[in-house]
Amino acid sequence: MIEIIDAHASFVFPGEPLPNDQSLWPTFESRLEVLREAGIKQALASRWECSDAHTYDELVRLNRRAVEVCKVADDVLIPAAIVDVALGERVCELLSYCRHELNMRFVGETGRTSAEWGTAAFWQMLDHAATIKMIPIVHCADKALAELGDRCTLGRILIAEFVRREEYQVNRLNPYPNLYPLFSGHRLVQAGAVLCEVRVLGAERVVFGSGLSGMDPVVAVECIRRSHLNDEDQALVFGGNFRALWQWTEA
Amino acid sequence: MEIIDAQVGLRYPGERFPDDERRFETTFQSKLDVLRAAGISRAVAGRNEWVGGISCVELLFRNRMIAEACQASEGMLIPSASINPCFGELACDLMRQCRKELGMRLVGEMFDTSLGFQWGTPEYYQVLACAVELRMIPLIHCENEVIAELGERYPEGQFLVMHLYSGKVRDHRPRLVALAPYPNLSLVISGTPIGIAGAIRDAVRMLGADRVVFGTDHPSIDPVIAVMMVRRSGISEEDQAKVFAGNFNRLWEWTDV
Repeated sequence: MIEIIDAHASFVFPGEPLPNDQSLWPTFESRLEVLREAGIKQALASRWECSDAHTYDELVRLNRRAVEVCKVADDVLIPAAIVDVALGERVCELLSYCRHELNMRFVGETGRTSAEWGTAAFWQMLDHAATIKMIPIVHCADKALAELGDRCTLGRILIAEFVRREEYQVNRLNPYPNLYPLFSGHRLVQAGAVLCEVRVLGAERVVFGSGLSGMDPVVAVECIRRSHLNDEDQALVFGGNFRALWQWTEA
Repeated sequence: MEIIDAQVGLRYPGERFPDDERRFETTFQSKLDVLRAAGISRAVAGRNEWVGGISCVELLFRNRMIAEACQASEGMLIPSASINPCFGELACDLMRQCRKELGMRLVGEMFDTSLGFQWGTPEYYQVLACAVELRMIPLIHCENEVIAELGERYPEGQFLVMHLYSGKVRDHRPRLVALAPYPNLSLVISGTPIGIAGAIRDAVRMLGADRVVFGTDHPSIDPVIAVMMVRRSGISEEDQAKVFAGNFNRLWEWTDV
């Protein structure tokens, strides 16, 4: 039985209404349910649907609550730190708090907007994350991968929704062993993509995520199962590589 | 439940490409097998190929090949004509041949700008008018800004607009807004955007279940996965039946002359 860990899911707080009705899983419970239905044992849970700007104190409270909620969920959910690059230099202070006080090991998700990407605080945050052994989930355009890989050589970074099926596209990650493609999001339905990434980068680099709630985890799991990867590689993609990254955070 | 796939890339029997070893379901037979595995009983098969610089004679030959390949599929594949609109009246003649001699009722895949297609020319408009006259249904890939013109120019025709989003705008909602006013335009939910959770439900809500047509875009998408997306999309069984086959069958009836 292959262990499945979803490294890219989003969560809402129990009882929290979503701002629209576009999600097929609008509640905390429905998201847990669909993760279980998919056979997912644990999921790294970020919050990107409710990412209004917050003050430092609000973000501290939000992160505390995220940790509490994930505990209630029988440890199915692993909370990723909720940060806002707009905090400027204090974003590093927030990361330290999340790491040392709340024992969070991942930072999710950054770089979704051009306002976040490439600011001084953004790079400081990534440097600081590497120092305190936290792993950020970063959205990154292909043309910016080289900059990210060159500047952040000490840490580990998960590149969100990196689904590519052409070798030249996947090759952009090849020089940067510190960057891990997070095979997640709706584009993972593209036939042959995960196989291409494993062929080019090696099965030890590709990390499975569903992209919940933008993608159905049940379908996401099926996409990997039907991808023609052998069982050994599937085990790495589904959970083994995430475990290795987790161990890195313990060093 | 009957399932018809409105978009499959056709391989000819025996045809091979240099990079086939890196891909799956690349042969004529293996494509049929995976469609069957998905529970698909029929599929519209076209050649997603460059048309620029290809003569009408060559295109006629290509269309005969398409028709023959589909005949070899024992009723599984429905041929779709390969047309270059830049030929204007000659392209119309070719469509007539495809319709009358080869029994084709669909045209495409056609594009607005890629693979040698050029939207907005008098010849392109003429060819679409011929399609309407011949009761053939074009399968059109286009950006959202082309949709209004298509819908308004040919209210008496029927068109299949491909994919839940276009190349420029990677969001399904603007596309649905653009399509909504035009009952002559149906949406084929094939390709990568089929993976967006909630997008099929949004399409049914905004266009009505009668205008949403199932397609895979195999080999880009595994048909088994595409079928799964519809089954888990949150739409009712009744709407699934329309999306999977009912709407295509109704369009097919429209092509009966």
